[in-house]
Amino acid sequence: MKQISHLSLYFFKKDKKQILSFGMIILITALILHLALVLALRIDPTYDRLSDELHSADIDMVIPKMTDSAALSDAVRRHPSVEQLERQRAILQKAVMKDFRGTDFELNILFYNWDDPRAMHRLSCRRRSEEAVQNPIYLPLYIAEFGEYAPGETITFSIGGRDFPYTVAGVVQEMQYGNASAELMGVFLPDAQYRQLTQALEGGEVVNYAVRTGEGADRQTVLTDLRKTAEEQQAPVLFALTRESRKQSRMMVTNLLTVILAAFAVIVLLVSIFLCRFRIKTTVAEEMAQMGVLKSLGFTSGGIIAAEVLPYTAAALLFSVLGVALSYGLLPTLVNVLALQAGFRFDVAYSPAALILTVALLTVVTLVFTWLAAGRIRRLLPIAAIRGVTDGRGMKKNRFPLAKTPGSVHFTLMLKQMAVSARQNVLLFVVLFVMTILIAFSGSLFYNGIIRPDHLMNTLSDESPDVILQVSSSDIAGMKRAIGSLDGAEKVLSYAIRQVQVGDENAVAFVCEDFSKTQNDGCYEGQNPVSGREIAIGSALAERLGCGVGDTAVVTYGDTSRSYRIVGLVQSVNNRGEICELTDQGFAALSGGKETHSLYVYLKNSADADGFIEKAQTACGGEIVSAVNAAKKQREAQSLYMGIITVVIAVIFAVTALIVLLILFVIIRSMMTQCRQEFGIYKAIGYSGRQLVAQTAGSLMPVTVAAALSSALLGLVWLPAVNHAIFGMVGAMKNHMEQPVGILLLFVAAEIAVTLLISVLLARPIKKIEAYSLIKE
Amino acid sequence: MKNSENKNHILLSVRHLNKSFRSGDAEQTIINDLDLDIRQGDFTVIMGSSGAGKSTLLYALSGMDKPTSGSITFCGEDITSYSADKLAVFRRKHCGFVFQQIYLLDKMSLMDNALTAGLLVGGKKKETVRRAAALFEKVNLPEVTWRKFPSQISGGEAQRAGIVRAVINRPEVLFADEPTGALNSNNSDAVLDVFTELSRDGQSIIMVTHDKKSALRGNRVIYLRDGRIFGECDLGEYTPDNAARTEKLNAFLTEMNW
Ligand SMILES: Nc1ncnc2c1ncn2[C@@H]1O[C@H](COP(=O)(O)OP(=O)(O)OP(=O)(O)O)[C@@H](O)[C@H]1O
Ligand SMILES: [Mg+2]
Repeated sequence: MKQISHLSLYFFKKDKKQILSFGMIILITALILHLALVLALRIDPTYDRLSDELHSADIDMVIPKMTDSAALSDAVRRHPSVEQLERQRAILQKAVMKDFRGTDFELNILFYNWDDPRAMHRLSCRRRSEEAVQNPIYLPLYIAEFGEYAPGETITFSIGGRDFPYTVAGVVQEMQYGNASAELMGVFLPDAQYRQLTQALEGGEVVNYAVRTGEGADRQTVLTDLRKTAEEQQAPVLFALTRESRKQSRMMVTNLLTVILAAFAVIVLLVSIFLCRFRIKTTVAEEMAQMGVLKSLGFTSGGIIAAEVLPYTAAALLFSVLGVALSYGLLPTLVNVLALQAGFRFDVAYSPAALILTVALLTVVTLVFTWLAAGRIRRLLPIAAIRGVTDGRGMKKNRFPLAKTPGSVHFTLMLKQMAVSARQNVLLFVVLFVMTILIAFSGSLFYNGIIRPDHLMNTLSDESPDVILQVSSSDIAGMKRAIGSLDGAEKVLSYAIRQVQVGDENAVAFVCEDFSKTQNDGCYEGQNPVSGREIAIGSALAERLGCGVGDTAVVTYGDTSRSYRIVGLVQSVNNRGEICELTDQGFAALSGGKETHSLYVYLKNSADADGFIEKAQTACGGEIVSAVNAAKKQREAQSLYMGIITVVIAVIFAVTALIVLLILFVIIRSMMTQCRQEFGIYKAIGYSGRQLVAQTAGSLMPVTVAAALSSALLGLVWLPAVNHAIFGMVGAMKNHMEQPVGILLLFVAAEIAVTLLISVLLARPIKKIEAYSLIKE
Repeated sequence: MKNSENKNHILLSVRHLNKSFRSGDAEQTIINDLDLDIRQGDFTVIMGSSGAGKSTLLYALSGMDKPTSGSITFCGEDITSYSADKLAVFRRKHCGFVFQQIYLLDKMSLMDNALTAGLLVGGKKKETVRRAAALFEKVNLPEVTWRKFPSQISGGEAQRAGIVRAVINRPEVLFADEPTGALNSNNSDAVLDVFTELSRDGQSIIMVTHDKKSALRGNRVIYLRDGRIFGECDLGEYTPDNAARTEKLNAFLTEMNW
């Protein structure tokens, strides 16, 4: 045992720096893996715990107050799966929140009465304004933090053209609605304000049926039952949510990030496995004579192997613990960003499971792979080792004979050096191949998110013109002509967004005179509706209603129902696929044609939207109720995405460069110990230091280029699949992402250049190897 | 041949050469104010007790190592001020080396070892290959051998391949540091025969040796002690079994207290 620890110490001292760089890679792996595990293991339970603590309902159903009745609530209570029911009154309005993170943001808002007692969906106040405020309102975390409204500040809701300003009195944690992708959000007014708003608005009063189901009940089925019940009682369901659908939309980004981090961790883990294998095998080759001597001294193979494996396993243990510690430094920031988006706070709790899993996985993986790699020692006869017939295999054939290979001697020597380093080539190939997966991914992001941001925006957003005009005139056609003839306008479309029901499901209806003229075609199967009897429905609706192109769908708006032929399937990330498309005539048949639509104005120069709005107001001022600079909103959203993408690309490049640096460090170090004498001989013959540096760095390049190029070209195959999967997760069946070969090659070229630069820098110490010192040894 | 022109031309001239090593606090002077001229075509042998500084001198002369002070003029160029890379370029053209430990590049064939040096200076590839093949023949290494790798041949064969690599660029001087030190008697003779033959062709050689048999091959023997040239002996041209030369060398070495 003592002998083994001595030997182990010897191996450690000899390879100190290389073990350190192995440790660094383990540290990076541990960091990423631990982040992924904490997200996966902690946040989901935190969500459920908070939901339970606040007595969140399992199903929420919003119905108009007028249609609410004792008969309905009795019927709901009688459902075998319903354990508890609470009716919560509220005012439902489509409202624009002014200055929501710098822009106007339209959303369906439920104004609840803060003073109503609540058994379900309790609220926990997280922050409160210091002093009593005028016209107080309590905001959920998501609106307060993502919209940037602090306690004491003003938030203005614009409802039907009228402004309702309130002062933020407190911020509450709620688990009922969550974030923007849940199309619906609740805010809370004290009794006085609630009454005032009720009077001011007349209408919009609703009741939320908060239902708690028994253990094990399938909430989606119960919801379908309850919808039927409501229908029988003549109560239209305006909105419905289950605990699952709510959770899905709130946890979407977190889950996406967890998956990405896990994939990242697997890639880096792969790198570290190959690295430790490489090091062990190289050490065995370097220390061949030593091993022979040790064996002849009576060391057992097992003993030598243990001594070799020990430093790496110990390093894996130590550095994975360090990586975990470091990840706790990053977690608060990460969790804050996620909380902003998920609309609830989770604490950075210490997770023993994640810690143990991370450390155990990395240590065991290192142990197993180094052990396997060191197995060669067993097959080693003492005599073979002492004679030094080490790498007999690769040396039978004189590859790239100098007499026959065309080109300069330096180039041929470079090829020779490459040809005799199979182990190192394997390592380098694997590392560059997997890192190029990330580089290709970032290249695709760069193209679709920054060079052609419309690709990403069109995938994620709905139809977005430059200016949206709300007009009061009944002569829509006349207004259209008037606006369209203004200087700078390219085209004008009449467009409306309405809340309807398709079958039993709530959906957002996009109504347009001519979908072929829109800019962002969300249709991914079949086509957009053209005639008044045609409809296109969203992916989620198609799935839930179990129908597709060719079937019929019944649409209800107000009291009117009408059936349409489904001609296409459309997507909408914002509305989670709960949408449909109707033509103007198609919708007029439902609404009676009395409603005025908005005008979607597309400009020749979208930057001049504000100027255009002014022009439109002077031209037909009296008839324009409101004008929204949608281009600006879109630009802001776009710049947010671009910022995130830039950070992601920078992180990917930094991590890749770091890993390549560490790997090349190990490779070139190993080369220098193995080939020290060789470099000395070259120098004695008259090779200059610079030539040897170039030769060494150059010998790594063919493999680098081959790995990077093949991985990037393979990326052309898998990137569309990955994009499809990722965007599919958020409900975009069709994405506009393209894989430009040019950009991919550019990114790969940058990667290769960085690799070359690092190799040259790392190989520079070769210059210091002296011909003379070689002879002295 | 350029080497056989004017026999008395001074090829290498050393003035006030000093070399000292610092180990810890103590400074140890190995070469001490040494002056030396090497004539073209000479086969110079350097002898001396172990640790006398023979290798140190040899590597200073060939530009492998930098002296502490003094000047070395080689082919009219003062090489003491050259940078490491410039010295490398200088070496590939003007110097050939044979070492005791042989030091072949073990990842390539003997032929490629020779070409690694031969192709470095430019010139036609075909010609260089032909010259290498001719040299291999001269040192008695047939094609089956020069196709092999260093780990597959005997020490004597390896050393002869080393000589081919050393002279392939027609260096002004061939430097050898105990070239037979690691070889048995038969192999030694074969290697020394190659040296003799090269010397007859006009190749200038400077060889360090411990071995009287090797020393006999030279025409000028220099004895080193305390970092200076302690004595010098002119043996005249080598002929096999020349008792007079053997006696002369014996007498010289006795005088040198060897
Ligand atoms: N790099 C060095 N640092 C310190 N001392 C050195 C160094 N190189 C050589 N020496 C010392 O210089 C002296 C001469 O060394 P050198 O190798 O020239 O001797 P040598 O005459 O060739 O001996 P040998 O016949 O044993 O080969 C020795 O005492 C040696 O210890
Ligand atoms: Mg010596």
